Order: sequence, then C-alpha cells, then structure tokens
Amino acid sequence: MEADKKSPAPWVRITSDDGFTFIVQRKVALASQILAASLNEDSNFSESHSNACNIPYRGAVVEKVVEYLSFKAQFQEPKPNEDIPDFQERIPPEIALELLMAADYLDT
Amino acid sequence: MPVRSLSELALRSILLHLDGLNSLGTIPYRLAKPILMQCQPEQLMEIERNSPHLKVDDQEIWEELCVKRFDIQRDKEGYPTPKSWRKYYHVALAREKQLEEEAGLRIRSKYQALEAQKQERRLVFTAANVPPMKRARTNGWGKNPAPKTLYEKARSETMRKAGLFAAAKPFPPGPSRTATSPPAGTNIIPTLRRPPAGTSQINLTKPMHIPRAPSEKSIFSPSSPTSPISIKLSETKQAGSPPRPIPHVPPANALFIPKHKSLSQLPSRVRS
Repeated sequence: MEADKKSPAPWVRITSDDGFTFIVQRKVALASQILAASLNEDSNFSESHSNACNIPYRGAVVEKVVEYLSFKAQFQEPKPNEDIPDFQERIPPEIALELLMAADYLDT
Repeated sequence: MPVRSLSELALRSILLHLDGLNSLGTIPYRLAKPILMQCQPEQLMEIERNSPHLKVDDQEIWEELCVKRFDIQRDKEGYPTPKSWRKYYHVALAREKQLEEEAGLRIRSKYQALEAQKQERRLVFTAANVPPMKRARTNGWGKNPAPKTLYEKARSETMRKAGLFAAAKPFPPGPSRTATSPPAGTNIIPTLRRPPAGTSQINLTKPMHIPRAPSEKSIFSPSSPTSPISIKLSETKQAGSPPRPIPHVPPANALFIPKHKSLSQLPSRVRS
C-alpha cells in the first residue's frame, strides 16, 4: 500500500456531468494542464486524493475530450518516421461548440 | 507542438459549418469572438437574438461590419463613434436601399421618356384606306380585269348600240320585201329603228341578201334589207325607193358566228 501512496495511481477516473465515467491512464489525463494540476500530488485538491476528476460537460463531449487526450499523449513526442493522423476529421460538428468550451475549460 | 490544440480544432470545425449556426449557447464572448467575426450581419442578428449575452460586447464586430460595408473613411482622429454600431448599420442600410430605389426610378422614367420619343418617330401601320396598287389587276388569264371607267363604259355601250342600228332594216323597205313579209305575229324585235344614214362607222360590208325562212328568224342573224322586222309597217307601204345599202355591221355576238359560212351551225346555213 505504501507503494501505492508513493507512486501515483496508474489509472485515473474522469467523470462527466451526466454520469459517464472514463478510466484512463494517468499520462493521458496529464495531457491536459488543468487535469494535471488537479491530479498533482503536491496540490491539496480532493481530486489528487481520489484520482478522479470531473469535467462539467455532457458524456458525449467528455468522451471526445478523452479521445483527444489519448491522441495527444500518444503523439506528443514525435517519432521521426511517424505520420500524425489528423484529429480534425474525428470531430463531429454537432458537439464542436461544447467541445470548444470544454477544451477551453481544460486549456488543452 | 506537433499536435494542434483541441480548442483550435473545435473552432475550425465550427467555422467550417458556420452556415448552420444560429446560436452560440452559453459561450463567453471571448470564445465567440472569432466565430462572430466571420458571420454575416443577418446571421449575427440571429445569434444575438438567441444568445443575448453576446450583445453586450459585440459593438466592435458591428463597427467592423459598418466600416467594411459602407466604406467609412478613417481620418486622422478616427471616425465619429455612434452610440450603437448595430443601429448605425441598419439605418445606413435602409438609406442605401432608398437611394438605390430612387436611382432606379430616375433611370426608368428617363428610359420611358426616350421610348416615347422613339415611338413618335416610328411608322405606324393602319389598316384603313390603303390605295390599291397600280399593278393589282394585270392578271395573265384575264380574270378580274380592271373595272371599266365611265368613259370606257360609255364607249362600249355606244359601239354596241351602233352595231344594233347598223343591223336594222333600211328605210323605206323595197317592193320585193313586201312579198316576203311574214305574218304579223312573228315580230320578235318590238323596236328596232333604222339608224339615220351615215352615222354608222363600223365595218361596211356588202349587204347580204339571204333567203330567209320565216320560222327561223333570229334576233342576231344579220337581217337582210328585205326583212320587215320593224314595227313601223307603215314604212313598208312606201314603194319605189331602192333598197339603201346598209353597211353591214357584225352584231354584238359576232364572235359566235364562224367567218366561213360553211362552218356555221345555224340550221339555215347547214349544208348551204
């Protein structure tokens, strides 16, 4: 259990406004500055203790956000021969507005 | 940063589908600004109506629209700022439309005046009183010949009558004539007067003495000087006067009488 306390949990929980829960790897959550700050061990936020964050938007929007965070975490350090796929085409226009707001909220 | 931010991607997506946008929900102005900058005035109005909180801050957008649309020149101190650019936009738009309409009206009236002027000079074809063309009647087959003038009518009438006179019996009839006088009932021509001598100017041919059958008297056969057709029988009583040579004028229907007697179809002439 001490090992758990020392090393941060590898998985974190991200919840949405309408009750959806997404369990992601820590590094994925850290792709967002805000999430990283709230999950930071040094901060006293409750999120860091519980390893759970809430994003105050609909489940559909949060799902897309999490998808983006995975995408970003994967391609953050570019390997020389790798082609980075375009995330633009994965954004449906119906949620674009809320996605904009969520992205602004998460500063990502 | 090789990967684009989610904000940027989302904004791009919105701008791509700007046409369908009519509300920005609860988006704060600072996020909405780049979207609103791209909107048309009508769309902007609708978005403001649906998301009124944006109205507070969007003067700068209207300002931009006005400057672009109405070509407001910026002088040294900048241009005068109306209280509400939005209002300014609508007023200026209405004024522009009115000017356009007036100009259109002016042009239309000028054009109509020009047209009226042209119309005056144009030839107008009326249906009435078109004088007949000179060549209208010359038809090769002789159909519808030109109507006879009064002079022509008088001339032809006179000639016809002259022809009849020429065919009348002479005055007075000779004694040989009385022998062959027909019964009184065979007078066919009620009035046939002798023309005075010398008036006839038509072909003078030798008077013909033709033996005439009493029952076959025809009006148009050239009557011999011996035929007592005239009603004036009193004249026949005179005796002794020699038969005056009557100039023979072919009667009006001379066309129908063959020139050569042997070809005539008249019973009197057959086998003559």
